[in-house]
Amino acid sequence: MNNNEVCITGMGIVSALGSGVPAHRDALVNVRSGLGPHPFFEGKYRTDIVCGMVPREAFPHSIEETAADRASLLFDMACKEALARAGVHGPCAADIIVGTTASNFHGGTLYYGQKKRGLAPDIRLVSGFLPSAVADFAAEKNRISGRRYTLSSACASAATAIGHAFRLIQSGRASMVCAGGTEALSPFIVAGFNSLRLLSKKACKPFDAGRDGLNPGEGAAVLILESATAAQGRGARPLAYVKGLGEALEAFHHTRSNPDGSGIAAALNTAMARASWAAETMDHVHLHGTATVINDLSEYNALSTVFGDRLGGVPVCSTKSMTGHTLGAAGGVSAVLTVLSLEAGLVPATVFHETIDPQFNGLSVAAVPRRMPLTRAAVTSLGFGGEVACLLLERAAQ
Amino acid sequence: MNATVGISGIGLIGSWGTDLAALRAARSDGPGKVRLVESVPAIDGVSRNDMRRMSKLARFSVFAASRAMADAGRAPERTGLFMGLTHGSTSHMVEFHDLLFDYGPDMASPNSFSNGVTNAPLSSVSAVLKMTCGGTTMLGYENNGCEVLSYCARAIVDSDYEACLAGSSEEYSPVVHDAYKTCGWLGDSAPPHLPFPREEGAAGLGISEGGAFAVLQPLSHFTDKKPLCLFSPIDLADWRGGAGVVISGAGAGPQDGYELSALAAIAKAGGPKPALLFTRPLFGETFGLGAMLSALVACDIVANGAVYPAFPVHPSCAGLFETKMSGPATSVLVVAAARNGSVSAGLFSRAESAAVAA
Repeated sequence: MNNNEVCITGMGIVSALGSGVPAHRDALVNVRSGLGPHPFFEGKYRTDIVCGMVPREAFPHSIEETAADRASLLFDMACKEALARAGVHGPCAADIIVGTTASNFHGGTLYYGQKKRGLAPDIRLVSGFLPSAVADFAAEKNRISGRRYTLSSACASAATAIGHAFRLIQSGRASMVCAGGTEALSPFIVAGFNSLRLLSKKACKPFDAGRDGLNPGEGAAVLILESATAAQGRGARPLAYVKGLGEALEAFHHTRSNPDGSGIAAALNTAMARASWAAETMDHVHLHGTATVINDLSEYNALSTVFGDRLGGVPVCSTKSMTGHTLGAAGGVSAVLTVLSLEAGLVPATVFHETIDPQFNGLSVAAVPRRMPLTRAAVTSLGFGGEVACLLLERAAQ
Repeated sequence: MNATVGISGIGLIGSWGTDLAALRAARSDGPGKVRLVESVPAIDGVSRNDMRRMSKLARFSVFAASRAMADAGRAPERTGLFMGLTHGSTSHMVEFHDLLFDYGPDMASPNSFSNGVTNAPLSSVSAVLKMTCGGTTMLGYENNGCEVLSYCARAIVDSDYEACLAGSSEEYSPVVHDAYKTCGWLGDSAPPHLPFPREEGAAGLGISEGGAFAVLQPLSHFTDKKPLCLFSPIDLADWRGGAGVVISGAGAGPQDGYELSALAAIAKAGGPKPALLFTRPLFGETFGLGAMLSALVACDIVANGAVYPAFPVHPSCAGLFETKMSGPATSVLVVAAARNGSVSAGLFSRAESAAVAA
């Protein structure tokens, strides 16, 4: 183990697939989706939306009993699991980096709804205006005493958070960071994506010829990142390594990614160049894969640029049809699932994918999991405003 | 780690105007008075239609960011873009929710949604200035502007970026104002927090709005021109004194107790007694933007020899600091505490020449 390396020593995750790493490992192996209909909005506007809602029983206690925003609870659940799996019990001097798109909007929506109805608003919901409250809540509940950062790069937030944690450790600015993302489903998010005509009425089908939009989801994922020296010092076993971050701003459009994929290709190429990875050594790419017409096209074009003729030799997947699009948490969810893929030697199924879009010539995507040795993988993450973050992950020796 | 960088350009906008001279002359209208930006001047390359579609927050950001990049004479290539926010574009959020609650989800506005997403201001700056190198929006509290500057300085020294455009913005929202009043943080009556620098029994500072940006570059860039000033992130645990002026982020809000603790630690560090300035009465309570505006005031003091007015000092600070600037200063320590107890600090110092900077 190189002492400059950045290890992942713990992971925690909660999504529509359930709470905890075992539930997600089981879903990858047994090909299970957590998508289903859930009612949103009130009165005559009430309607069922196909989405990835965290099951109520996944929460350790009634969410009505706590003042914390749902996004804070989700992050705390993932953080607790990640710390426990890293063997960190009790107070720790780690930094926290939370990535989120709209964690504040759930409480904010409830607060404003009460105001509009002429009710005395619940002042506990004021924290709902403040995305930074997620990190404060996790720090307090888990007795984490380091610096707290909250990053918002739209749906690339969690990947950005993990990437910046990687940089903090690699440069010696931190020795341990709890990094990831969180997002709670709210009427704001559902109505917002509905207003952009991006919601599918059925379970989404990434990279399929018949794809017609995304399913919103919620969840949280946290990685414990440490320097190799710190991990060795306390006898922690690396689960995998973070080897690089590539980022880009597309400067293209508020909500659409550039169909030519140039921003994603630039981010992936930057990450690989900095990590000294040749394209030929990439074993797998866990794509953002939201199943919108433009997103999937952008990613296909980016991969064609980066891998060229070798594209068919790089199996890819999207797990949005399992978890829903967890927005600011998505890159973290993908990162955790990719570490599980590397451990198991398994490229996850792209559930509900049936017929590949004929535009995506050579793209290696499948509706069933594929067993193969995996050493190096990339995670791509795209957000509104053209924010792109790509992570490079490498399997640890067993 | 020494993470000193040079500041090569700045841009700002607020209710007082669009430059440091106007900020120097600005004064609070009195306790609790809200001050709004009346209009944002035209920006090269941005049509009036595009401006109208942006949130106020995005307009402030694009204006101040454009000014900073022009001031630095810097092209966007290889420049990271970082923004600090406390609240997102609440005006668009409110508009979106009004349509959602009153007319149902099918009438909710896609423009309000995309503008209401937290990173929309950064996205607008990126699109207008063609900045593609990467970056992110950092969310935080009253110290956020200082956090963003410090983060960028360290990232430049570690070669994550060749340079960074770092800024912060805040737009006034009656909903946020009302929520804070409900919490007792800002109100017509005395908040339950340390009441300084305002007078006993008076209301807290009025909320204001605006934007402020700075361009940070490594010292190696300054071979043939001088930076406006040098900036170094400071860990107060390592502070040994020596600044001519200390700027506090106290603002009669929930951060003030932590500000007082930080000031006590600074006073204990020794060295000549610095002058203590409170800048929030100049521009009101602007949350994360406040620390960025304080940074630009510090830049003005060391780069332009500006002397800023004094405002009342909490009695416990009076013996520890000079209560007003006696003349120009060559170094300024900006300290900014947040409501959650985190404290940020940065040292701004005069660059005597390009050679010294490099």
